[in-house]
Amino acid sequence: MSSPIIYAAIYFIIVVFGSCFYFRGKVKNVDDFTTGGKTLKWYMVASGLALIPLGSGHTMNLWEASAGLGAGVLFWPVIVGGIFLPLATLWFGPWLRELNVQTFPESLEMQFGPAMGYLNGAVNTATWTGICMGETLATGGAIYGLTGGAIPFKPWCIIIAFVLIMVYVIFGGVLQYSIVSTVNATVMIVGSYIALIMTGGWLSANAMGWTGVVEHYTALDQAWKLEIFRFSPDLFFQIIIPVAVLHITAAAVTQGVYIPIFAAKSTQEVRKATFLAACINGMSSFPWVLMGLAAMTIPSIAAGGAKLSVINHALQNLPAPIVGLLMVCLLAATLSTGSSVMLGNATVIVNVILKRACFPNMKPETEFKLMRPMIIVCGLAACVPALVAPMIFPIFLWCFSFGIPMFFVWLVGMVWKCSKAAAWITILVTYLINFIWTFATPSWAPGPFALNMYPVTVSAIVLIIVLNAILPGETGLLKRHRAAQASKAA
Amino acid sequence: MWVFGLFVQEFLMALVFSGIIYLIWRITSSNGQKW
Repeated sequence: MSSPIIYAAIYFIIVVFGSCFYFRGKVKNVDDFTTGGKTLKWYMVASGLALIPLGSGHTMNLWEASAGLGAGVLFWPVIVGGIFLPLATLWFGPWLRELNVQTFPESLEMQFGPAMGYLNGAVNTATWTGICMGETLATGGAIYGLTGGAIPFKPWCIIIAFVLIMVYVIFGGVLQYSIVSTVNATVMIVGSYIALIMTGGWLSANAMGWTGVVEHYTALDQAWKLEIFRFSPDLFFQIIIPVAVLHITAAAVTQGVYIPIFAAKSTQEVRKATFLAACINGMSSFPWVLMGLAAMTIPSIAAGGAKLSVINHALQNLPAPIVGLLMVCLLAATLSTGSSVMLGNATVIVNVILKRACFPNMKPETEFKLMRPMIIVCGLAACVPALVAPMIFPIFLWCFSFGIPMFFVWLVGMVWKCSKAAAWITILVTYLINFIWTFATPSWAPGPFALNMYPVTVSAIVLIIVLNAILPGETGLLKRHRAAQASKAA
Repeated sequence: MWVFGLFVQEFLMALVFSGIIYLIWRITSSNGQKW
């Protein structure tokens, strides 16, 4: 076995199993497990939140995309960290805390009745299992690549990824997730920047340093690849718009994103987390993209393709401890996303589907007993397909696109109007459009509109606004809730 | 040096975007919510 995997294994044994040992016996009921007894401080909220949307997209996808689109791909973490996370910490999260709900589907239930909550609980769990399958494959890919292929990708790297995702949350739930994420966020940022500095050192010793990278791209008439503010239609349609839409809408209706927010000590601690979360997430992709751009100037590495550029550069040019550190950083990114999805999915299935929909008299003890087996079931649902099928990009977008109409329905129901008919028509029509565009894309759909997320987004916005303007409905939930609270206080 | 410049640009962009969102929240939030 190669030495980098030994360094990475030592790290995860200490951090993950150390936290398992620490939380042994401390998590006594379902509230401790799913909300951590609402004890998280702002820096733990920030670390957890920053790592949830920080997965293979911020790292492996971006270094690959940078080969074609240049440093402009860094808009990805800027949008997620600088826009999506502040929206979650300043509006969406505090709204959910104000409504005093335990899960996201409960807020939909308060707006449009139980059926809408159950629909979100069921559909979102299924679609995010699909997205988590992609993260499991990416985690397995990171292990396979950075061990130099010493461990077979299928099944062993996938199985190791599955086990690591499980042990990240299964013993201590949200408390374990938050502590491990705080440690991982620090190690990931420090580790990836150390690797970038080592890359600079290697370039200085063996090539012409970072200046040589500039000269390489200038000679190819591609100096624009080293600039962030060089917009192109490809950058807009492949990075900026999809990242903005998919995060601000689809990720915002997912239980996993709100795990640290529900577990925060107070809403103030959530707000305080805004800038730290934005900074951690915003600066996370930079070392990977720069290493990718530098690696592609080395002919032997460029020949292996952009997908493996950073991995091949690390294996060929960096010392084993740094390769181990890079593996820890990559795994910290991908595991945190996968495990938060698993914890969120298990919470929704147990709380919304099993308890609220099927067995309303379920005791809290039974709910607690079901949580850990349900995390394993959710993990297997993502891991087993990952063993037999590749992740196809349209299917990835198909999964994401189910969340888009749900977000607009939820947002309008929160701040403007709750019309059940408008909500259901919007959801059903846009789901139908999502199916048609994924599996039978109309040949007349022009350019980017051939991608399912664009027609789904546009039709969801148009339908929910027009239908709410026409159909009768109640005032927005927030206004009603605040009025009810004020009258109760009076 | 250009690497550092690129890092500063990216970091500042994340800060500026989150700062704008924070300012919008600060201006629009009612009843004196505390930071």
